[in-house]
Amino acid sequence: MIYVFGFLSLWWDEVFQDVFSFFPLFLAVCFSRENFWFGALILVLRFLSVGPSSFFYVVILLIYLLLFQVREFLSSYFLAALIVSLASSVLLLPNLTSIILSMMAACLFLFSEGRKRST
Amino acid sequence: MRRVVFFFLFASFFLVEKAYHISSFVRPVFVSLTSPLKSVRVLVFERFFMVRGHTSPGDVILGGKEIGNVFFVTGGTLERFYILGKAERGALVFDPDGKRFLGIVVESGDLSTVKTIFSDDIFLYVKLRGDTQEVVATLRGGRVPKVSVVENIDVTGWKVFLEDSTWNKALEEYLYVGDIVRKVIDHYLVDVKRDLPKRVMVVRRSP
Repeated sequence: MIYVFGFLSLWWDEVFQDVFSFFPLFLAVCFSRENFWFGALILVLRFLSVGPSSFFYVVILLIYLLLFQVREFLSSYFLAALIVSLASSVLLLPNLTSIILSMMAACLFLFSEGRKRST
Repeated sequence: MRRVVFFFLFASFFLVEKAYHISSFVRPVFVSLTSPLKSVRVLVFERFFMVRGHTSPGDVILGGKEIGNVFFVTGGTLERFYILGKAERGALVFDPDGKRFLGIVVESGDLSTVKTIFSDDIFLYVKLRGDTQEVVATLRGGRVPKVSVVENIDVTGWKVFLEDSTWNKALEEYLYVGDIVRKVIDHYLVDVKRDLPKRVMVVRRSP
């Protein structure tokens, strides 16, 4: 699933970023599964290929790494992954509708992941 | 530790990209790869507008000659927005109802990109018009666009128009950019409308 989201956060986001973006969801999944290097690879590719190569990618990476370092002090992975997702949505997406849609997708996915883990 | 090293490598890579624009080699390949999906989007949008009873955007005709087209705006940010359809790179973009200049087409494709006057890297020649006088100046884009004047005159309150040798007369009223509000040190701040129309008029640089 993580590879599908990685692919979509490049291919889909190039065309539909102003409607709905997969990148925040992808980052949340990477965070929750501790797959940093694949996330980093997609981040670099996205930085080079999708839209303006913006300063925000550095900020998102910094937030990701900071949260990764303090993850044990947070109540759950879910919360940290959600913060990563929220930060990337707010910093990267152009309008409120796309931020809300992308955040809703991230929340739904993380909830279902959490349920699977608990059962 | 490896993650921290990666962060610094990425930050350095970011600076290299800003200086040498490496993405300009990667991006055209990626744009062509995503082209089928963009075509689907264009098709869906056209059908959607048809169902809602909107007519086709149409052409811009001047003196019986087609000089450009009208495009639907799909969305975007303050610095850049997207229009549905293939517009010529470098073409000028205007608001047909508000009669004002909006920006320049910087990427041509099924979904073309327009860089607005609020973009930091936009630089234009403009004409400032007062009640009786007219001077040529330079405009630097940004969150608040700035105008620099060589002449030692106060241009506060003057109107700013885009200076374009081809369209200076024929599209005079559409070249309006904004009004000068005040002077800050050696340049003037320009008040530009920030709202985005639903459709825009794209005019080629050469008729």
